[in-house]
Amino acid sequence: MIRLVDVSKTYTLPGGVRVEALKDISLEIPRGEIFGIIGHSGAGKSTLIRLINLLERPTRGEVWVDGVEMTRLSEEELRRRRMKIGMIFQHFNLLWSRTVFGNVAFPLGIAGWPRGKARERVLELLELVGLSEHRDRYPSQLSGGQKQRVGIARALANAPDVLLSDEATSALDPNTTDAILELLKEINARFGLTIVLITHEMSVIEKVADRVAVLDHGVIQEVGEVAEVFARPRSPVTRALLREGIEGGALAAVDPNALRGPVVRLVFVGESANRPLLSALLRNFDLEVNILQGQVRRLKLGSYGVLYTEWIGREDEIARARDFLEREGVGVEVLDVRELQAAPREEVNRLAVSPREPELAAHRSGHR
Amino acid sequence: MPFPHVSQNWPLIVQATVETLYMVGLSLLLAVLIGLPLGVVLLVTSPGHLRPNAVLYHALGVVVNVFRSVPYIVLILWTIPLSRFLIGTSFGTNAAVISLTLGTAPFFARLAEGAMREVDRGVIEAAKAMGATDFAIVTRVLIPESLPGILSGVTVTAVALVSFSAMAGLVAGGGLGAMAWNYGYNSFQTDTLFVTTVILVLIVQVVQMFGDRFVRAVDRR
Repeated sequence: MIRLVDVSKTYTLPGGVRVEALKDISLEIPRGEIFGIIGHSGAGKSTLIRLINLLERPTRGEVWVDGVEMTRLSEEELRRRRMKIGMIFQHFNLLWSRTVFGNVAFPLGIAGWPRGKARERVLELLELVGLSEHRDRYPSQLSGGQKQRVGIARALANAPDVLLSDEATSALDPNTTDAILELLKEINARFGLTIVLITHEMSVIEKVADRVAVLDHGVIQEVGEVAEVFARPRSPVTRALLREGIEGGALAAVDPNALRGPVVRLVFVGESANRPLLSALLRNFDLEVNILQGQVRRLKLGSYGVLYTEWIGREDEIARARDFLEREGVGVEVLDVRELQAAPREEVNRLAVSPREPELAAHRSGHR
Repeated sequence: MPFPHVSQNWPLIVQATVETLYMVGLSLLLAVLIGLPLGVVLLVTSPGHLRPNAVLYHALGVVVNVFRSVPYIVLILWTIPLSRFLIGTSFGTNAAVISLTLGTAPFFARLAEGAMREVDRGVIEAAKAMGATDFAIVTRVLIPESLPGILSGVTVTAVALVSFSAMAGLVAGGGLGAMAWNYGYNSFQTDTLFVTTVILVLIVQVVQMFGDRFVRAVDRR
């Protein structure tokens, strides 16, 4: 459905300085998928999503949407094509001078729908997003979640094949975020719409995405099924995002200087989640294992368990224990303590106290 | 008898009031009709907007600024030959309308440009993403979304026009300004001077009041 081929975007700042916002990005997103792009702010996410509907023109490379190379379209063709690519925004971007009805009717007016048919379509969309009774209100009279519902109805007006979501839940509270994400999943399932969403929150990826791409400094660090990327993150950025976003929790309170051994992240998926591997570990190896943080997380498809542990013991023993767990199908990662320290502290703390993530098993021993 | 000349001049005062309202009304209409498109062009050709065009933007900017910096009383003198060319005379209220329009259209253009510049960039981007043409963005987004600002610009322009019309009338003949000068000052009729002043003040008050009401009525923010 969407294919980016070696796409780069370079900006030239007023002083003549060139900034490479995106470097040789290649991606393929099949029809009907919910594809998440995650990264810290400044990673290039906004630019990347805007390449798909060509709000940003790539400096190099090809952008294919539904078999059409977007960069080769004339202005008129591009406008027609954009009507089939819906977009929703962090700050909703509604017209405050129009009612809910008027906002949803806006793209239909642009596309030249006759008034009667447009009216019918708007009422149908308002029904879909659950705003029928608010149709004569103005955006200033709506809550954030309601505004985003108007944004979604508006984006769906011309029955697009693709929906681009630009941090659509970042300005919303946790409950509203969940409701909006549910709505996106429902739309995806019902209309087979391909959804590309960008976010800086792993919790969003966790709840709705089928696959995820991790973006950092304009480069894709890794791409894959959400469960696979979560279980075996290959890049430090992914690990940092996981820790900061959803898995960290109490870990943020651990003082890296007080640790006596390496921090090991264990991920249990599928078969490995059903066997008593931890007790086997303690019985067979000369190690002290200290649980720092643990939880079970539900993904869009299936779930996984994650344990952050501190291992105290001889280096060769640690290496043997690691081999053992890996053979048993457990995702094992020895974290660099510097990585722990590198996490932006205030962000971690904010997320740690937020009620967003009901921690299922956040028990922690060894409070030093 | 505190106002000895007013009752005697009353029909003239009424006529002068009508002339002032005519000059202000027609000039305001023309100033908006010219100034709004001019404001749109100034905005969309500015750097980073819908249709950046440095040459057009700067050329128009210079023209607008020249008109805005020439004192109105001097602009009246410059438009005398233009009035003769356009309507065959440099006297009368219609001649005044020409200089009033030239004096206020660029002023209003800047006010309209400023109001439309306040429209959130995200909303413009959303319209683009929906496949809107630049024309549709102007007519369906920029103007409706900045209507309160544009209307308060219309009000400010109308108030300025009341003041300018007194000067224009003085040169071209007609309106309350001419009345104040000819009867109130030159004929030592202090009461006529007083009454014409009061009427001018009242016109401004009424314009401001209705302007504020319109702004409130369309503001849904």
